[in-house]
Amino acid sequence: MKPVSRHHGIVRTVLLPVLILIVASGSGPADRTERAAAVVSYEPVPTEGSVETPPVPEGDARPGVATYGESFGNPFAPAVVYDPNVPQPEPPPIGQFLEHLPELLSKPAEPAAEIASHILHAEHDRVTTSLSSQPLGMRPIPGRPRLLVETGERFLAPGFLKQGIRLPTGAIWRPSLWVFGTLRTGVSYFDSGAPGHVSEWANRLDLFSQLNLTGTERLVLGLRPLDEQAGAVRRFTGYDFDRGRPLDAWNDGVQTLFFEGDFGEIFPRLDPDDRRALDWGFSVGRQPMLFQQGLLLNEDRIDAVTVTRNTLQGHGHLNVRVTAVWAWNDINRMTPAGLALPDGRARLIGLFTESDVRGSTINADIAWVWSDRRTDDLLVTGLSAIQRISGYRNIYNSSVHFLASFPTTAETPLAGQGELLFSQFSWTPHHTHDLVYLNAFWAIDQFTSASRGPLAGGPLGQTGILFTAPGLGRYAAPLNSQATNVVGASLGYQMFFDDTRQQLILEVGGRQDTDSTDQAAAAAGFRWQKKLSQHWLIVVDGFVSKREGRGVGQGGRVEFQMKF
Amino acid sequence: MWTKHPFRVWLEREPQFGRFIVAGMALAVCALSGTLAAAESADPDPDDPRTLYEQAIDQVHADVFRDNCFPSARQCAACHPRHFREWSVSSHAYAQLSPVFHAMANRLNTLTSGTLGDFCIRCHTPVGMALNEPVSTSNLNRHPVSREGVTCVVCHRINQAWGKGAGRVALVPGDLHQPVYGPRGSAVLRQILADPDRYGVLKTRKEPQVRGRDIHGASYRFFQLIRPGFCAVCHDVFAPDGFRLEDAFSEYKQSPAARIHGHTCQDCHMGISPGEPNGYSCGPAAVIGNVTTPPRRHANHMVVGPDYSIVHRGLFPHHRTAIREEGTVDLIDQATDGEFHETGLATMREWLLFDDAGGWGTDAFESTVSPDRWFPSPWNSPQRRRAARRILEEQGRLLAEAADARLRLLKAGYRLGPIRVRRCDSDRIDFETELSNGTTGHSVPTGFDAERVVFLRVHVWAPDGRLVFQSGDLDPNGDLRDSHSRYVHNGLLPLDRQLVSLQSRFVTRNLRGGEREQVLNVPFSLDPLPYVRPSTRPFTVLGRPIGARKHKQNIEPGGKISAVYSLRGRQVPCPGPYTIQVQLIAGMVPVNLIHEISSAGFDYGMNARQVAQRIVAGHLIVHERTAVVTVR
Repeated sequence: MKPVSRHHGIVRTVLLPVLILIVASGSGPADRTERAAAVVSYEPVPTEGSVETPPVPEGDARPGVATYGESFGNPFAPAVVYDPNVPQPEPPPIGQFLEHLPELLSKPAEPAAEIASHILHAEHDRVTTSLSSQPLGMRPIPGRPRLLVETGERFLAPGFLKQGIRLPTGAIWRPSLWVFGTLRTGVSYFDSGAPGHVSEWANRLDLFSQLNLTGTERLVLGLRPLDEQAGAVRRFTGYDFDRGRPLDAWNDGVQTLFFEGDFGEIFPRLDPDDRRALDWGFSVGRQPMLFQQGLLLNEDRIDAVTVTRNTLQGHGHLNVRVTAVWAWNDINRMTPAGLALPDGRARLIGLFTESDVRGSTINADIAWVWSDRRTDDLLVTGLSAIQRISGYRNIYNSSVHFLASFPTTAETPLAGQGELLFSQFSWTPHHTHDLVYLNAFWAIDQFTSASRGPLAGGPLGQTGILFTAPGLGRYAAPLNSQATNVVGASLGYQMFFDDTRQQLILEVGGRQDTDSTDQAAAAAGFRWQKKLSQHWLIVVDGFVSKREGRGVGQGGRVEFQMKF
Repeated sequence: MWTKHPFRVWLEREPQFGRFIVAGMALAVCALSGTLAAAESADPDPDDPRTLYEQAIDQVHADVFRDNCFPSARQCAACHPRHFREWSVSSHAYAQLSPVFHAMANRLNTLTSGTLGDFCIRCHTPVGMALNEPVSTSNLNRHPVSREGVTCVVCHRINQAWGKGAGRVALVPGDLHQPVYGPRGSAVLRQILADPDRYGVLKTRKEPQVRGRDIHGASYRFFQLIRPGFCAVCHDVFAPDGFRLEDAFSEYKQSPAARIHGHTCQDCHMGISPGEPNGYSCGPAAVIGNVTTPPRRHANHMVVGPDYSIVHRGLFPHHRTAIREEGTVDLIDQATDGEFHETGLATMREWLLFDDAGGWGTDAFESTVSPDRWFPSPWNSPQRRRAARRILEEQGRLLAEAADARLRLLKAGYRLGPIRVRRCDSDRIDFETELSNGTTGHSVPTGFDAERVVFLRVHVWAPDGRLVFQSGDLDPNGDLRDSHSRYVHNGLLPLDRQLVSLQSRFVTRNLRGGEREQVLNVPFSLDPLPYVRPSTRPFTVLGRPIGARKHKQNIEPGGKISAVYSLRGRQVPCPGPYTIQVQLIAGMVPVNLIHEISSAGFDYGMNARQVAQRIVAGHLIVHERTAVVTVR
């Protein structure tokens, strides 16, 4: 264990988020009003002009504005259409220059879509401009697919609703039991370029049962009978083609079992006049959990109790959510090698917030993991800003995340000190629903998430499909998703066909170590996914990769999913 | 130090027992749910409204899903004409007739492979859903009471405080004679029933042989009806996957109106001044024959909101004599052999053939009609056309009244400050105005705020009368030039970079590349088969599902934003007086929504362009400010 450079970490932890927020606050479609909000307290700047009551101007000079100077006798607004003769402000040179890059990256998009359209025999989704004058009549819609089990009230189905059961608290419960889930089955071949490879058939069944009580109260039980956690990995039921033997991971372990509700809804008699804002949400039990888009915490099961306050407002914050978490079991600690080790003695406490401001959505989170061993204790913070940036030629989706992990005892493989700067940038080319994305990261030292499940992979999974394992079998991420002394990026293009029912994603990505460990790697891959029916879809993945010191990696998989 | 519970230690030592326990728990959950689902209330109390309700169920059990399961508002209108008139032009009355709603719900159902089910329509026609009508069918084919949307029985046949349930509440079934639920109870009703000399012969279920005026036999006090929590049933909308579509009630609970002033939803939306808690008007609860009941507090059932009708005036507002039902469906009270003599002038389909804009039935039109001119049946009769015109003129007056109330509501909800010039040079003019929330009860806009259009339209004219600046103008479709405009998206028009709009945004998660705005909140980038199923993780924790959320852009109670505009270069061509005009404009939904849902088709044979034009025609100027700034 090496000593923690506390001051260095604190400086980075404090200063970088501030820098991110400054950058983020200067962008976004409504950044003008954000800045305006900042100047609202200023007095008007003295000018040479003067403000006075206007004379009634000539109406001819105002196309479409007919009621000027009149009272609200006719309050309906005329449809003032854009006048192209009105001078537009010139985009600043820097803006023009910066928008050249996404335009350049979008260049291959259209021909790629054309080629894919021919190969897939599918119609590329195009965005029409004008409204149609053709009446279509009401088109038929798909029938409601039933759940596996629907007792009591059917799920989102028409029909007479029964009166419920009145609890002594005043709440009305109408219990229904619903069973639903997803079945995944797929064959895959994976060769990382290192000696050995994987070829297997794997299956996964996510089976959920919900005892629905009201719109806000419910008890959820989830089983995954075809795969189970075995130490730091998950095993799947299927067949190992390399060794010629079946894989058995049948189990009856409880993957999910939680109750959630709204305090005010359970005890309505405490606030009959609805004036006391008792609407505190809570959940208790074994549940999946994810914060900072999985960068800070990503568990598919953790035993925890949460308390949430939502829809808070004020001081320019339009919608604030605050969640407090206390977790006591099933906390996994990930090593730099990507092993998710269950830590039975670890506990986690955290405060997680999200706030909409006019130009951005800000997440500020903090979590502390500790155990009675007094080692591996870790404080993790995350700050992010998600917004859309208005360019002169397009709208750009952006998000910036800054996370820092800080051991509170000593730095260990399970509790590393480090920072992660992660950004996502994407846009939709004209005339399409398609998506071009450019994601990048920079991990300084050994950033460690508070808790990550064995299927969650490393924190960098959101970078691209090349950085993510599909969560079925031993088919791993083509590119390592651990955030230790590394920079990297991915560039991808998602194309939509047949009214979004068929999709093709092409991606290239790479990572470069910054600690001279010679682990640079690059990969190219694709994903094709298509809806087959009301319940079934198919997903096909493929990649080639090259990592320093290894041969060429390659792999492919075909998966069928059934939702019910 | 953390110590393990002995039971857990034992479980780790004997894992096979853990499995048995798990299986037992699963069985217990199933058994519990079955028990709860099958549970019945305790011994009945003959005077308990619930007992009467159960008796009512027994009585109508055989024909519980037949036509007379719920009375029509037109039947209620016989004794409650004022309530009916107000309600008939309300957003509640329009809820199910809206072709935009229908197309949107159908489009969402198509995108989610039918898994959305009745999620949307359950609030828009609780009666239709209780009658087990199909989710998607034309209103021309629906039961008359189903078409009435949030009709009388949707509020007055609710007997329990359901809480936030996205509209999934049980209506108490029964014909007109069954008890209703109101804020006061039965005191006045008992007097009426006991005084046939004054109020005439009245027929209740207890005396079905009597020939008299039909009336409900009891009115039970249901106090929650006048509490905000009652509105929450439909105005705090979150999907089973955790998506919070609307949270007007949640906003209200955190607001000064709730926590400090004690104002309720009803105070502002059913009071005497739309949008302001200035008390209620007064009037009789009922008019029986020609005798009125004693005056009391009257809640305005227009329940003013920001929506407006775009359908034929023959169909909306609901009129007592405009529409004749097709086929065998009627409003006859079969249970008591009552008769319903009122018939309408024409069916809905026939009304759609009536050329309102063409002036049919007006003196000017009829005087020019040649005898051999063809009209579709039944409009080949000039007397019928004139009768229709009289109805339409009545409808027009009512719609104007509603528009006036809507304008007053919006004026109360939004405040627009004066124009202040921040800078005025020879080549630059900067000015600002302040937009603030005029209410204390919720953000503005609220509710369906991701599809509400509220924006500033700004024009500046140069001294020579030339328009040199525009913001808040529309593209040729009728959309603002924002990120959702098809013209802007396709690069045909520039983005309105200085637009101030209060429309919140649906934001969906991309497979990779963060999130993006979408007109509809279906995250198809993640999955080519989006499914609506109960969330498999607690939706309270994030307050939303992982795939989609809403980014609010409205103004919170007590909040304000400063809208700053800047003119530079060619926009300030010469010295002299520049005229600035700022208008706050409010509409119903953006045209890009119409574009997005148009593939689902619109009811009444409408097309997308027609719908868009009528939506834009309903835009109201809520506030207007002008100023002149002189560039020297």
